[in-house]
Amino acid sequence: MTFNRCAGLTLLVSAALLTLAGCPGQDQNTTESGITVHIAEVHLEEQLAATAPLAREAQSTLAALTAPGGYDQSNIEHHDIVDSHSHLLSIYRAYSVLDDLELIPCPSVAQLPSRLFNSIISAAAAHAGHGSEPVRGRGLDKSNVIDIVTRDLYPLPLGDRAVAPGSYCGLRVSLARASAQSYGKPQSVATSTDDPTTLPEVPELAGKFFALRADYCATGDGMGGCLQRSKVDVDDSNLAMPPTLTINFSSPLAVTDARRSAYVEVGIAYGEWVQNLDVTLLTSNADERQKLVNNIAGSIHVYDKGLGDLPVNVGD
Amino acid sequence: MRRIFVCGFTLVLSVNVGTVWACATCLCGDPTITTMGTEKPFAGRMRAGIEYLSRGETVAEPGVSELVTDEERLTYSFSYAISAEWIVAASVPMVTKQVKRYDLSRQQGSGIGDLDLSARWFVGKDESFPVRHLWGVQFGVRLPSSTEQKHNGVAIDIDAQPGVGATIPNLGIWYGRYEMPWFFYTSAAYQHALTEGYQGYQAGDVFMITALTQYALLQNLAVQFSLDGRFKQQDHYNDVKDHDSGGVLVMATPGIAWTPIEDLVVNASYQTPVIENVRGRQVEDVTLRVGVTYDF
Repeated sequence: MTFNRCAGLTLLVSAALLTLAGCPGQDQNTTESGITVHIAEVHLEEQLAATAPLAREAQSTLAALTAPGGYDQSNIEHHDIVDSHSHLLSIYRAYSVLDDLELIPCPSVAQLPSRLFNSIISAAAAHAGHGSEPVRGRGLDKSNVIDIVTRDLYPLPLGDRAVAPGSYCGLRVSLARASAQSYGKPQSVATSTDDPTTLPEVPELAGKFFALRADYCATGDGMGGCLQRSKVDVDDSNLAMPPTLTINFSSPLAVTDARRSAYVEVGIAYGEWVQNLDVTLLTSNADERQKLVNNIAGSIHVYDKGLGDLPVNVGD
Repeated sequence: MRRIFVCGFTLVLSVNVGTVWACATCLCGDPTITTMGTEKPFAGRMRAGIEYLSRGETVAEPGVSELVTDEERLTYSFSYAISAEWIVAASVPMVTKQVKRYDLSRQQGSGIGDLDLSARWFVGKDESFPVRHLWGVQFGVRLPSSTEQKHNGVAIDIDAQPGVGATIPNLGIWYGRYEMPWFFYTSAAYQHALTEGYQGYQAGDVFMITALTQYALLQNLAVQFSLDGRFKQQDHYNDVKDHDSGGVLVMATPGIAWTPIEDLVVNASYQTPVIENVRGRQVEDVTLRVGVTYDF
């Protein structure tokens, strides 16, 4: 019995020693950040060089007058773009929805099997809870609604993507239908009934991947003025969604253990939305609207990329 | 690895084990073998034990979503035979888990894991003397007694948490055959999580089966071999399926049990996967165990 007590005491003392010796359960909680690529969106008007100056000249005259049939152009913030028939389209509300933003690793023979697998199985679903981090109320785990009628060239952080070390040669991005949970989805607001309309509608975006509220001068007075404007209120109803886009970088983006932060800015050149189409046909012609959809997809570029943090927004 | 030797060596030096091992962490094997032993108890017997365990696993796609986990745990257990037919036991692990992800980020969580309570009921035996066949029922519950570990106020990822924070009961049956110098033991148990764990973790149901044999080389030294199977449904996080979880894992476990002094048993084992028919990518490393139990 004495011996047993001794052994038991030894056991307990040993347990205490193990605990004090810094065995499992006694360590510090620690966190070390990994490689992060900050992804942001910027939008900009990139006018066609040939038509832009003429249209701008015309617009300076037209802006002085407010014509019925459209929106209250002189009192509402808007962005102007020119179609291929030199129609000046004034945009009051414009939204597109982006999703599935993924960096594309540069081809590597050694990693080909896993890259192939990754192209079939979404990385985001591989282990829930990892892969992206929200930034300023947005994230990459759900679709992001982009409001085009905000300041041009203002980088809007969409979220941070965790990536493995290596070189990345491009970006994958999709236009996607918004849901109630989409980041940046505005509350819908009905249009006012006055003429010209002083309050453009904020459309309900759930189920849509783009929406546009705009107008143009339908009837001029022959002296640079506008007698009648016409609204272009369109969305993607009954239109085919473009396939996922693959945008190649001009040069690889290399991130390493020593360089753990990088950024990619996705640019939407909304001036290209009306390339090769006639805005006067948009409301009546589905083919013309499909062209618009394709142009929206084509307007998505990589605006900038680099190592380090996102460029600081002026005014932040 | 250094700590494996430090802690393991300290354990071996300090005390001893009976028929010890199982996989309380990865749920591959029958943990009650360690905490309660396998022999028929006498009323009032108490057993205290300490077990050091080191394991690791790698899941998901390399370079895309890969996650490497290294885990060390020191499990303190205590069992008490309230009669010749009933044993109850409790065990609590001290755990340190390190997670390294494909993006080179790392997290370490350390603390007390979830408390395991279990009971074994000796339902039947044969009429021979000494008894050669024993069988019965066992059940238990893992309670969410751990604290969600944080660093700078932010919760450590679930993969590095010492406990999962869920209530997980289990129910099973067992059978033991005693033919000196041989001993055979097998058990099967089913486990189902009643509640969500931390961070929306929803553990998949698990069916565990263990087949153990032991051969006594000497009066105080035995060699052991076990096959531990785990059949697991996929886990979910906030109702999102974890594609790299679930499936069939069978581990082979050779080991030894040494009784240097009466009532004191030192166990050591090496558990290695032999069948891995899992969903997604899950690579289980070997599991090393060193344990000591003492009967009062």
